[in-house]
Amino acid sequence: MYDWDWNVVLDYKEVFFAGALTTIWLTLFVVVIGTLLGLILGLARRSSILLLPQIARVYVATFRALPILILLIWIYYVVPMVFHIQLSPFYAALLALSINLSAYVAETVRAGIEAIPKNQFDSGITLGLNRTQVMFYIILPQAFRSMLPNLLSLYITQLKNSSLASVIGMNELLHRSNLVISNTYRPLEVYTAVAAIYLAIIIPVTCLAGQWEKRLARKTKNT
Amino acid sequence: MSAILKVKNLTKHYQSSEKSVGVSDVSFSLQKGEVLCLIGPSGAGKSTILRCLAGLEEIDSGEILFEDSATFVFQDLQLWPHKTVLENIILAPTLCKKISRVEAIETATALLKKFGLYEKRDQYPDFLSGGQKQRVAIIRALATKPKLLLLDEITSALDPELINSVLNLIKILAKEGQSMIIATHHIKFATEIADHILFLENGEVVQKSATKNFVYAQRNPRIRQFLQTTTLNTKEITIYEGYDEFQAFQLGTLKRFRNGSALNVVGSSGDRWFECMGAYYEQYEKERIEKGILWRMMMSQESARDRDLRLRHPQLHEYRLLPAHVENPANYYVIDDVVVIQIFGNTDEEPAIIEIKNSNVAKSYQSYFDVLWNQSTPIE
Repeated sequence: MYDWDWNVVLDYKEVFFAGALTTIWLTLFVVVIGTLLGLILGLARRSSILLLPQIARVYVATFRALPILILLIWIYYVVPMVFHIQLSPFYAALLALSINLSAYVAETVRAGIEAIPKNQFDSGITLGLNRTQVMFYIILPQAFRSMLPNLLSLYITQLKNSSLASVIGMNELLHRSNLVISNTYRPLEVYTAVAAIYLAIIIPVTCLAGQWEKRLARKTKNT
Repeated sequence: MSAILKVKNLTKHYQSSEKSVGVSDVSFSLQKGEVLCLIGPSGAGKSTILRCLAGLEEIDSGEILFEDSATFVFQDLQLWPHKTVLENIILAPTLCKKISRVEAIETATALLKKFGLYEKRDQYPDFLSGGQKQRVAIIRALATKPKLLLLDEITSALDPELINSVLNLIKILAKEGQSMIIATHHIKFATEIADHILFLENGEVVQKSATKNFVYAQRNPRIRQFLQTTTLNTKEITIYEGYDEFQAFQLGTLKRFRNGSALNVVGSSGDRWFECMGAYYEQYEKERIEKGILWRMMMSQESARDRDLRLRHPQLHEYRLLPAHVENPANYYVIDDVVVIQIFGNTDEEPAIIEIKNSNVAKSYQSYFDVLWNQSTPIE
């Protein structure tokens, strides 16, 4: 019979706390950068500028196909060799996760925009708005509503994906937990604690997301 | 007055799956304050012309000479569902016309109050009725103060009883001198509101005529056919043309009235009715008095002859003055399920009658009569 010792978790609670904070910070940065980049790519896919849609399409196809772990390792180990720039684990993770997220956001944005009837676009134009104004005041706010469930689940996935950054030695929750394990030889308690911490972060976020969706849906009858 | 819009040989074709659709070689002009109705069967090219004028389509050839902006109200309205009524209205003025938010809200509030929607200003469009949405869409367009308002079949999705509220709004705008081009298949509406009517078929202009000539002086067989079939089927609508048919119809109709019943008439046209009845007037009048049929009639102005009649048989003449906002309404009366529209024309034109046998149409005409009656003032 295994002899559980939860004191380990309490002894190292500062470490877990710091790890959780790093995970949250990393995810927040990834969400902001990945969403902005994804938005730009999604708009680029519908742009009429020469080659821009094609470039965006190749980008999206490539980075959706590439496993994040491979991308992460490649950015951390191969980029320094080729370009002579050494990225810290944080920036390497931020870059890899943001690129991955942006590819998915781009697809979500494109689908969201395409779901809005063309006449909504025209109605803005005929009232005198320019294309950019129509996009930002009329199309995107509406598309956002249909994109929201998809985006939120992408963000929550990003929070979990951030644990992959532990392989390049980034000090996020999982990496710090591994250090605790090598000090204490108590993997079961530590991994259980890590699981609980992830749940403690993700479940409230999911609930908030659900509330937000409901609030937006109240403006219309059919969504 | 000078034309604010000139369209020369406008051609625009789309490649649809089966055949080419669009318009060919369309030319017309529009004066300031003029209301032009585009009429024709669906697929005639009405919407195409409006979309080209609104700058939503690149034209294949021809010219559109227009100095200012035209604002387009879509058939399906396209209100923005994520914005409240007020936000829908003020977005374009604040973004494009560089009007301050406060000023835009003032303008919007005035328009909302004028058209009875002020209470709905903070609602989202999905919670409005069809007629309310329609009015909001028009107000949103008006808030940009367009020189020209383009309306595409805006009543097509409405129930008959809701149509009136929207049509009244458009009538008010027409009276205020708003230049408009309206695509519609609602002939009664078109004849009430338009200065000119452009009849289109298969993307070509069949006829452009002044409205008063359009219905009763209609010699073009294609248009006559359309007038008879649109929205109603051929069996429901009959046109009687010329003095003989006019007189025969009136005498025949009189027989359908029960003794002591009332004839509710909108829009007298002075003495022209007596003229149109010609020699048969005496006979008509005699029979009417005998049967004790009451004329409940609304008019813009009482003619001497009407006054004389009224004074002679006060119990058979209840005359009222039309409310001031109604000018030259269609002249009609309703008997049971039948609407009789009388078209008098000038002295050099032959009169005509359009008889519509459709209980829904009759109901909507009768309710319009009732509304006007309540707003009218008795002539003493």
